[in-house]
Amino acid sequence: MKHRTFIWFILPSAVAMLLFIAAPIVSVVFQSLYAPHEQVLVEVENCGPFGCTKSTSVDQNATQQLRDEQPLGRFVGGAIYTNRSHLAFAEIGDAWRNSDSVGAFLSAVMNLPFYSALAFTLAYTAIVTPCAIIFGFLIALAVNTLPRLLKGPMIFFSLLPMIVTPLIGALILFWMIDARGIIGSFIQYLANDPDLSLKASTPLTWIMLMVYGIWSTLPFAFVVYYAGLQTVPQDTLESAMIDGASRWERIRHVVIPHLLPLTTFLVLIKIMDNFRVFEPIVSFNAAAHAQSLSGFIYQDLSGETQLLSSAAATSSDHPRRLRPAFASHHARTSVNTAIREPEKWPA
Amino acid sequence: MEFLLIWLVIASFPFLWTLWGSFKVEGDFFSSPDWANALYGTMTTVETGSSFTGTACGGAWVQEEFCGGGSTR
Repeated sequence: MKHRTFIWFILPSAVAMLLFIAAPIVSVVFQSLYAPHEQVLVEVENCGPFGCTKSTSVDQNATQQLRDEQPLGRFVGGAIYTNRSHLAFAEIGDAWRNSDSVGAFLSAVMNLPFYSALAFTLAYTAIVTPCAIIFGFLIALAVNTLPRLLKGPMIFFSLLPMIVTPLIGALILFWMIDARGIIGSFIQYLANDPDLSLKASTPLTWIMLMVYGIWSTLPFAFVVYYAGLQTVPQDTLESAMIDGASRWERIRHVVIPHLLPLTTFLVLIKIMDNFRVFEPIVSFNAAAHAQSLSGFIYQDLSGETQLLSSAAATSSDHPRRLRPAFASHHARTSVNTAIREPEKWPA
Repeated sequence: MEFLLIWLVIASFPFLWTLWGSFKVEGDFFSSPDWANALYGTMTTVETGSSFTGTACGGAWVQEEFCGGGSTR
C-alpha cells in the first residue's frame, strides 16, 4: 500500500483516537496539576442589644471572582501525586527514618492507603492469575477425556461460576462463609475454633477473596483451553503414542507447546482482569481489610465528587440563610482566606 | 475422575445450596447447630407449616439486601 493511501486509510481512526483517547488523558494530567481554589472567608461581627458575636461565612463574590480569574484552580504541581492520600513521599521518608526494622517500615507503609491497595492488588493478581490458568488447564484436560454424553453437563456446571453475575456469585459465597453459613461453620469445625470468622481477620479476608477470584475466573481459562484442545493435531499425538510417549509426555511435548499462544493470551487477559479487581471487595463487604487499586481510585474520585457537590450545595445555600442576619444587625466585615471543611459549614 | 468430581462440587455446590436454601426460612439456611434443619426444613415447617416456602425473600434475602425491597436493618 502506498504511504499516501495508508495515511488516508488510518486518518479517521487516528483522529478519533487523538480526540477521544489521547486528548482526555492529556487534559486529565494537566488538570491534576491544579487544585480547587480555597474559599474566601468573611469574618462577620454581629452586634445587637446583648453584645457582639463573630461568625465566619464564605464570601461568594470574592470566591467567584477568584474562580473566574483562574478557572483551572491554583497550580500545585505534583503535590496531589505526592500527598498522603497518594504516593505519600513525605510519610514514606518519615517511616524510613523512624523505623527500627524493615518489618516496622513495611508496617508503616501498609498503613498508607495507596500502598495498602497496591499490595493487595499485586498479591491478588500474582496468586489468582497462575492458579486460575493452571487449574483451568487441568480441568480442560480432564473434561476432554470424558465420554461425549458427560461433556455437556460437565461444561455447563464448570462454567457456572463465570456465567453468574460476579456480584451475585460473590454474594452467595458471602452468605456461605458467614459464621452461621455452611462454609463458615465447616471452617470453624476444621480449625476447632467456634469464634473463627473469615470476615474479621485481614489475612483470612485476603485468602477468601483470592479463593473467590480463582473460583470465579477459572472457568474462563477452562473454556479457552478446552477449545484449544479440540485443535491439537491428532497425527502428532498418535505419532507420540507410537513412539511410546506416556500421557504426561504427550501433554508436556505436544499439547502444552500447541496451547502456548493461548496461554499467552490468557495470561495477558487475566492479569488485566485481576488487576482491576473491585466487585468481590464490595460484595464481601471487605473494604476494612482489603482494598484494591480500583476501589482506591473509586473512593478517591467519589470522595472528590462528594466534596465538590457538598461545597456547591453549601455555597448556593449559604447566602440565603445569612440574609436575615445581615438585615437585622449592623455588620462589620474583615476578609481573610482559609480552607474550611464543607461538612462543618452551617447546615 | 475424582479431580473432576471435586471440581464439580466446588463449582456448583454454592448455587445449588443457595437455590435449595431460598425455599427455606433464614433459621434453616443458617442452621449451623444442625445442618439437617437446612435439608429437611425443620424451622420452615414450624414457621410456615410446610418444609418449603416461597416467602424466603422476606427472610434472609431481604435482610441481606438481595431482593431490593429495602433493608430491615
